[in-house]
Amino acid sequence: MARVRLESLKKHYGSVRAIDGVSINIESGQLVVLLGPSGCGKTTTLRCIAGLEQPTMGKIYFDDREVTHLSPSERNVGMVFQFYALYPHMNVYENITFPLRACRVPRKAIETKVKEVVQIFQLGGLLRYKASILPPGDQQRVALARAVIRDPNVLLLDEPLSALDEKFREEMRSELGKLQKRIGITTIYVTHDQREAMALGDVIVVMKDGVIVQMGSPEELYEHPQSVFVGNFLGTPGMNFVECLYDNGLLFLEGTEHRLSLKRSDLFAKLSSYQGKEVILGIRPEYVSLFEKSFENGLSIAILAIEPAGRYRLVDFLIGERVFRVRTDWSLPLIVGHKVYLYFSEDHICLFDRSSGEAIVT
Amino acid sequence: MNNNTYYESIIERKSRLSVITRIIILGLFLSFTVFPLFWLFLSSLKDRLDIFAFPPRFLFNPTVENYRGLFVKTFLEGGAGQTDFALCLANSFITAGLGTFFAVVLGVMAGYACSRFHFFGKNDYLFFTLSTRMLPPVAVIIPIYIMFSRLGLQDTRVGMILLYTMANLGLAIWIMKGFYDSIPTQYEEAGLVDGYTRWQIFWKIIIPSVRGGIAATMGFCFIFAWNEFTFASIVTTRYAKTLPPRIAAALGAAGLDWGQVAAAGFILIIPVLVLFIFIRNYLLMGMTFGVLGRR
Repeated sequence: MARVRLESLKKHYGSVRAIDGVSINIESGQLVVLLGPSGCGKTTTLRCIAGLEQPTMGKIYFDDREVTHLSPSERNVGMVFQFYALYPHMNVYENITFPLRACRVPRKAIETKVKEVVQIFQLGGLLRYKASILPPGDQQRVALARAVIRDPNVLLLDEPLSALDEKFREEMRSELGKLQKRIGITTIYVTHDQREAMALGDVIVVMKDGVIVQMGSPEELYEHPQSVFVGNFLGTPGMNFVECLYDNGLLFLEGTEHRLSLKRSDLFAKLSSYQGKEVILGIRPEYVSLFEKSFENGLSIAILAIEPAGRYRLVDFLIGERVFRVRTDWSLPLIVGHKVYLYFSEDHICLFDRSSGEAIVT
Repeated sequence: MNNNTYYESIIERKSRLSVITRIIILGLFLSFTVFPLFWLFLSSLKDRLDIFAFPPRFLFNPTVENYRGLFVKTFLEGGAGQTDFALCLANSFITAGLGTFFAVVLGVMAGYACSRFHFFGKNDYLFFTLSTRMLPPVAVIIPIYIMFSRLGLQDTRVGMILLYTMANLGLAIWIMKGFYDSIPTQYEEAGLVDGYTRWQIFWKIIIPSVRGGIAATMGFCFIFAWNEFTFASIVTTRYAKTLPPRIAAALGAAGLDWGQVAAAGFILIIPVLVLFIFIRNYLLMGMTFGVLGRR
């Protein structure tokens, strides 16, 4: 396994900029998730690392060795494709030993290696089956076994769970995470599912339109989004946003009579240049509390809808023209149409520049 | 397990409902397809009297005289000795077989190139290869005849093999391209990542995945070349003559010996029939150009 370093990687297809200057530093043994909506360049980045695409500009290093212009076979990477790409005419044994046979590993060494991965991925009874008849979960384990059997520098996973159904996906997700930690292999994981990213990533790299919007630990990204985009993209449901007018420690919520007075002194300093200007207030659904009685700084708003979600309920309000979602437990009796008081936890308030969407305070 | 019994019960119900309709439709279908073959076979075993008997006879004394007559000259044809039937049969096998072989070998590679790579004029090239199949043979027979006689290919097996290779190549490329198109490029990418070269991947992953397609292509090409009449009747006269023009010629030469014609016809059908039985599943895939799946 190796450290992986991308230096201002660019891939242009004519005038389309699939990746436009991506730099990432991945420590050995880390699991890094490339997260973003479709077309954000995450898969292209992965394919550049695999050698399946030639970057237009920029460099790729494994440890200190530059691999930018090496062919895929010279890079020693393991890759699991979205639909696994197991060779349909081969059985499981032939599939997982295929990478070893490419570099003419002696038969004895192959057998040892096979025993090892069979044990790790629990493929014991499957070796003689045709890969194409296995259920998706087993196919995925076979694909993983094939990818790691050569002790690759880096393991590349391209949406490996998207072919599984919902329930099974969560199971495989945690299994995948445990396996990665156990083998300790540097892993780059591409997904558009923020829950997968949050659950698996040591580091999450959020991408949009070919550039990195934010990079950091799951907690960092969740609690301190650097832009409206990240705040909205992470979390189920995502962050709530309200347009406000800032005036001397007061936030006037646009389209309503409501106002919030800010107490945190560190906010004032950062907001000083926004005096009399518009900002966006962002807050996660779980950081808003609901009360029956009036409270200082509480907003009295009528309930629009209630959606039970297991241990919690999601309660919708209308602030201005935006739906505002609050996650709350079952302790308070709530009725649609009745007014309750919303109290924002000020420690968890984020403020964003209205025109750029960049964070002012998180 | 539950699922299986569920599906079985559906199948059972369906078959009980429609079994009679099916028998009727199948019966009609068979009377159009299998019965003529059956009649051909019967006629080839009849003597002259039985052939012209009315009402037609299903019970008679079978004779192999018609088959013998194909290979051995009768008294009327000038006494003992062999006819050219065996030669024509061999010619048919050689020209159709090798023509198919070369067309498939080239088609397998060209089809892959057309499916996976971009090159200048690809679409025009693909259209051009297919258009060779759209032309009626009559339209190109004269230029071909002139070319062949100038090149000394007239009435040679080499000429016929070239002709059948050319005639089948377009079809082979298109069918094979269809099969390659249905294979996701991920397999090749997986092979690249696993440490193989493109050429190795082609042989180890792609070719095994399109075995069915190759079989189907071979079937189509062989049947075309084996049955081909127009070119063979113009270009070949004696040494490279194939069966179809040979049988047609027999119709005129010694009156209408329907027994012999039936025997020759039956011999002509046998290889196609055998081939069909072996590759019938693949042929269906070939006709749908791989859309039914590859396994």
